Amino acid sequence: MGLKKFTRTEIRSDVMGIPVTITEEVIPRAARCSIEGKFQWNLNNKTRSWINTIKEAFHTRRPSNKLCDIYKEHRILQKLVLECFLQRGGGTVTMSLDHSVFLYFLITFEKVNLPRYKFNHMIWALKDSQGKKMRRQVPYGRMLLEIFYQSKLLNVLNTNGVVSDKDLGTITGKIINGRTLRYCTGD
Amino acid sequence: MVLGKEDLIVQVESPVDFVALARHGVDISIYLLAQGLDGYFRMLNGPTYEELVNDF
Repeated sequence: MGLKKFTRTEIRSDVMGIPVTITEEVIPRAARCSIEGKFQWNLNNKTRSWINTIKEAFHTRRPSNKLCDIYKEHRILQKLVLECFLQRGGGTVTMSLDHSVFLYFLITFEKVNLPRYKFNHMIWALKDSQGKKMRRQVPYGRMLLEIFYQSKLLNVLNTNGVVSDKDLGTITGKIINGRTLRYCTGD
Repeated sequence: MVLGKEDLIVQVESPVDFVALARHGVDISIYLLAQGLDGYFRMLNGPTYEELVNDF
């Protein structure tokens, strides 16, 4: 008995008694994206070169250096970063340097390694939920379900009679559409 | 203190209506097609089973 030996970074848990392991290799198939691209993580605010690069990309010829003064397209991409790629909690619009660099890659058409970003973000959220911060938000609800589906977990639950949408608590994300633009300033 | 299952909030990724955004003059699809993320956004259109994710 006891824990299986860890040979690489992985997230282990179980769903209704069925063990589930998530590794970085599982994510590309679930998220339907490739593993190629750039990855910058755990940058601290002392990384001056990134701060200057980002300022130049977002705020050149703009009224101020505030986030609300970036182009509308960039505002929507920023919303995507916060709500689809690297989800934050508590409804805050504050971006960390990691978020800003991710947005910078999107804007400059540089390919990002989304699976690696997602995996590291999940680990960060997990550590925060177990640490002093007691983070309550569980990111990537939709992608986790896709992982469960692809690992045939839903089939197992189906054969065991846990089938109704009510039992499983069906929810969907808030859609980003034309109405979202109403809350965005800039041009 | 340890967080219980009922304390957790499942964050679901937001699906995006690119056509509606483009109609309002904000076409961001070029940025995401360049990243090869069209499949990712198709995946986001599905539902999420909150209870299952919470159980994880």
